[in-house]
Amino acid sequence: MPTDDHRFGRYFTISIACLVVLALLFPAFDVLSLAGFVNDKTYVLILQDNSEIRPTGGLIGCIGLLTVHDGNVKDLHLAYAYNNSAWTGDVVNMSLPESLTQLYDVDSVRLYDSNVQYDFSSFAPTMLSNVEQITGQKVDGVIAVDFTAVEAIMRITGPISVSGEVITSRNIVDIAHYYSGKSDAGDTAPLINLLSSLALKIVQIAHDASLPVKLDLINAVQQMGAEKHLFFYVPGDPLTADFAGASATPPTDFISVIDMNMGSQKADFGVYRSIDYHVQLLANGSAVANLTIAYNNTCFWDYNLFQTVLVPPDAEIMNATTTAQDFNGPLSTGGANFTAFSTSVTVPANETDTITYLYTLPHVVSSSGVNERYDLYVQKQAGINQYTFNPEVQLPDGARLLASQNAEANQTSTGDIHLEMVYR
Amino acid sequence: MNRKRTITTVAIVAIAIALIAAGFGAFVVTVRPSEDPTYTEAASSIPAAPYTYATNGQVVLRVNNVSDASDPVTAAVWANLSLQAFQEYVDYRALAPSPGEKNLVANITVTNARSAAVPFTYTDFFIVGRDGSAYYANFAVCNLSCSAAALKHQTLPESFTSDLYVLFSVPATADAAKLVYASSPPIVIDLA
Repeated sequence: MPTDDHRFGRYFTISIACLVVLALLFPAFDVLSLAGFVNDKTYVLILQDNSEIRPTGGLIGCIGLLTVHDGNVKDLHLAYAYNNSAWTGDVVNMSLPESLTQLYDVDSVRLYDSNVQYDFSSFAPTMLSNVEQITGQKVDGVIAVDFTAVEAIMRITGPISVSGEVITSRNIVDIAHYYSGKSDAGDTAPLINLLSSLALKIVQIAHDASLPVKLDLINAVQQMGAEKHLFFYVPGDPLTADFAGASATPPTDFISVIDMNMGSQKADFGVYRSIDYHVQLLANGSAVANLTIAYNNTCFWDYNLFQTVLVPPDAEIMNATTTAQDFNGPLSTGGANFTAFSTSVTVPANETDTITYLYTLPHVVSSSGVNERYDLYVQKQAGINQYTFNPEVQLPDGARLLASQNAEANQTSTGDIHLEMVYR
Repeated sequence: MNRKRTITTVAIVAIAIALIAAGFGAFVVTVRPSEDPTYTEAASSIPAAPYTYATNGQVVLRVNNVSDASDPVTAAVWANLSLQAFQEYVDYRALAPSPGEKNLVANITVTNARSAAVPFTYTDFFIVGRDGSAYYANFAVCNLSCSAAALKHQTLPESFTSDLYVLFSVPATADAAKLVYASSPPIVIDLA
């Protein structure tokens, strides 16, 4: 006859075991649910053309609705975004960044131009509700991919024949641009057929692939997510939260450069960015920062840019300069967790121009026991392939550096950078 | 009895190890798809050399030059023609190569060989590297009237003739051995 203590112990063990099993099963159940095994799921699918950079990754080239059922594509309807007679061209009212409304005097945008928020996670909920409102269809999430993500996936799948043409990781961007030109001329069918067929064939190849190739594809998707070339936003879903593209605004020092190509065509694969950051830390924990962003435009045409830099919320601008002859700004605006400096410039063909901001930061150093600690987060913009970061941290007079990470000059990065320094 | 059990255990462990090794081996040696297609020579083709004319009965081709896009003369011609092609909805295409790649530009004179319009697409061109990999065309530009016909409408009208500049992204280490126009039969220009 078991005692109450024994019985309690047994129930407790069973309860813990059940919780563990549930915890292990939840991600699997979540994946099955996202893939449409529980109910059909419909996602807004966006192709962001990152050769024409926008805050969330690139110009919205195509928008579509993707329905999945039991892990397979049930339905895919893509539309060329820049078709004013289609639903993708509807004007939507939304909260626009203050920098944009002030510098360009706009208060509404078309759906295809609505990715002007500072990060994807701010844009995606609005996109979802706008699409639901316009199409009348319930939507479960938003998926966005740019050309760099498509190239990475096609490097694994290999060449794909579509409509008699051989599409590879090397030519997909240009072939899509060629057909988007024809779409601008009024014939949208070739582009839509190309991209729809390509998407379906990639899904089929992934479905039929051997296990090693499947793992390669999963790795590529994870890497593209980490480098902000691929986003997956599902409201309230914890499994996809890392892919939702939220830009952190940590309570330390941070820099987030957000560029918007203002009608300069497909220039951004020919524009090279570098960030020079000189920060002088003071004994009271404040700092003076000198941030210079350089744009080397190797294109044979001018590059028109609207640039916003997000820095800590209590930053105060002291001065701003640019080498560009044609510019507008700077404008300093605020947000809940950041200060935004904005400037629009034109970088002439085959030239390099810089924009420099000099500003103060009241609190960027934290105490770590008897030591002082400085952290800087450089957040890579979605869609940008790579950039150069050149930091220079000047410690307070008499301070001695104890440890540092990612503080070396001329780093080339495809992702975010976390610089840390500990000194006494 | 113990000996029998030991033998059984050893056999099971050996089989398990063999299965795991076989699985790992299969995983390691799994053939992954190559990034670029491999060129397969057609049973019959129309061979040609640079600066000579070759025809498949539909079009006449003459390859005048294949140069690196970083060449200043090539870049200047590309920029000039891009301004004209833009009027026929052909986007500008920057010449900066992606990391690990280079851009080659082939200057090809294209002529309609028939007394009627013929279909044409620049995407039928590809370059074959010395290792046998095929690199399909990326982009093309040409003058205003050529852009309207060959690029926008993908058709060569009767008596059409024009220089076309076709861009190919290839690995930085690749050498172009052949330029192929994928018609039936294909026209194969030996660049060696």
